[in-house]
Amino acid sequence: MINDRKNIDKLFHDVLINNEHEVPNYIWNNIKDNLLNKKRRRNRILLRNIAASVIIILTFASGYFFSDLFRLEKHKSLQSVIKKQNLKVKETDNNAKKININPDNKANKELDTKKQDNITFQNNNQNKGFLSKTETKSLEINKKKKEQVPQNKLLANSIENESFDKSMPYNDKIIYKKLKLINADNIDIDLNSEQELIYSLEQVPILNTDLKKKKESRWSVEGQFSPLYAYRDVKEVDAYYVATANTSNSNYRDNAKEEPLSAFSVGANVKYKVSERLRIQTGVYYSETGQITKNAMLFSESMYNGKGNTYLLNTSVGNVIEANNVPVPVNNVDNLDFSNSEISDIIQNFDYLEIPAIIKYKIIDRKIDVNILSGINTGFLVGNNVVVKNNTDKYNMGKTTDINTINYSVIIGVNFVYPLFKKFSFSIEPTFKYSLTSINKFNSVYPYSFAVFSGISFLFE
Amino acid sequence: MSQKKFLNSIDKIIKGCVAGNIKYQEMLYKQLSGKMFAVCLRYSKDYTEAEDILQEGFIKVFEKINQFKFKGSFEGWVRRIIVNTALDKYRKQNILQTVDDISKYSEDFNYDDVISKITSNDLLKFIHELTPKYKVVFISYAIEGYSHKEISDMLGISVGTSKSNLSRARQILQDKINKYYTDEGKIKLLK
Repeated sequence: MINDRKNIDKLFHDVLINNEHEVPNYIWNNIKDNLLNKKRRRNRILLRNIAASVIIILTFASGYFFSDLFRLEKHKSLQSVIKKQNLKVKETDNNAKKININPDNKANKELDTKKQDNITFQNNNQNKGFLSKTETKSLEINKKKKEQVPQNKLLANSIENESFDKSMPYNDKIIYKKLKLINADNIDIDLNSEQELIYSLEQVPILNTDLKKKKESRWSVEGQFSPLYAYRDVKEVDAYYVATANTSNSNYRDNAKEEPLSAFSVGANVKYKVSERLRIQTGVYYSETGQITKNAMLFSESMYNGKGNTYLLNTSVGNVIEANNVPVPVNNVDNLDFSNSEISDIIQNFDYLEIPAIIKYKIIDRKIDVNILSGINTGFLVGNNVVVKNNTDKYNMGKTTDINTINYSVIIGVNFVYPLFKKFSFSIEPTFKYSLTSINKFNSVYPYSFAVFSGISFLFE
Repeated sequence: MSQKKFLNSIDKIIKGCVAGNIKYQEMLYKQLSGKMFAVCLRYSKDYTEAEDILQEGFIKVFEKINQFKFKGSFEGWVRRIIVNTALDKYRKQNILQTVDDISKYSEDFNYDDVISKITSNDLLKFIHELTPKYKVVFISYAIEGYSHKEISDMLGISVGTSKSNLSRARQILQDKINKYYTDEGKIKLLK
């Protein structure tokens, strides 16, 4: 008889601790396949991250390209103005090409008499080179005149009074008027510094709206809402789940089918205008994503308990566990009366608090601005629930296990902005978001979503 | 192979595994899989589940091997991962195993085994006749050497529950071994 219980521990320990058992060969083959698959998956993730980086780089490269394209158009306009207005280009001793728009200063006087008191064309770093060459440090507007004439009207009148080539586009006329403004002090304009000249032309405030922009705040806030089409990209599901899903007698589970979920995202963002074209943006959004498992057969606990095998509900994003930590019996169970089962839809919801970091680049600067956007999003899991819905009922079932609490994703999209009032504008923003991290700790399942955000933004004083 | 040569060899294998070399991974697996499979068999409810645990456990070993700091026993490190994998599976499944009637297992005891002396298979059989909650605590404490605190953390139970499960497991095993050594058994053994 063994009376000392500690001896039992010793007996079992001594006999079993170094025990070995022959292992079937196929286990190593399974492990090997799994390791090789994971290696391939890592390579895919690396490629995807590279692709995301390339998209971001291309986004900005295209922005730069378009920006350059617009400058090219302005260059053509400038050349066209010079040609069509028969402006004389003279060469200086050092081969610099210069024009003088107002040799008799008449046009200058015409404008001077109507300019607003408070208009100042500020020098800045970029046009410094051009202005220093032309010795025009700032365009001081005549403050003596008290007459207040709206600048757009002034421009319109001024353009009407000017004799232009009939074929000259309106934008070219504006360029000509701006040239006149820059040349107000009857100083030669250096055509060799064409890029700087074009930039200076952009800065010359002629229209009221241009003037206002100089005073605008760089900060704006925006509220946004979007319906979401959310689903997942299954790269690889852990062997455990596959094995369980393939368990015999799972024909009833096989009836179940996963489908995308229509959800939503709502939030607010704050934007900072880095330059005329570049904006950085962050914010806080609440997003609901998930998926639906259709036609699952559910049994009550009392029905399946002790009557046979039961299985967890395995979905691609993870197992479903009931609120009281009991597995959900969705599979067939021997000896059960299937007529008493419920055919239901199981909706797995994942709620995230999201903080995006986005860069927007304006590619078209018109009545409706067009921006391209790209960035990284950090999602914090704040809700994980599973809802059962059938013809008559809808109730909370529990949650999905092993869901990562933080999810990183990449966002790309296009943003259209239409100004409503002075400080308000309306935006439409189609975006695509793809997760860089798996939703489940053990499976390789990557959520993605399409969204079309609409929002109203407010520009601060 | 001398101990020193073996250590050099295992270090080389580990480094090969860290580099993701499949040949070294296979070498490591072949060295340790027999012992680890015995661990899996102790914790699992059947052979198939033991295979699953071994497979999952070794995949985790290869994924985390870069975290091994070459301090302490590598085999102990691998064993801990295998045990954690087994306990993880136990945590997921123990809610399905609601049977808690000890007497049922006692009735299943095969007295024919008494005619031979105790083997590791006999002890393994006794262990598997325990209910899952007693079995897992007993194996973890008595064989694998975990403390009650560690067991309580791993299983999400209190230290008191761990102690009481161990005590009950010991009592049941003691009864089984005592039955094994009945006079009838000893007589048969002597013959």
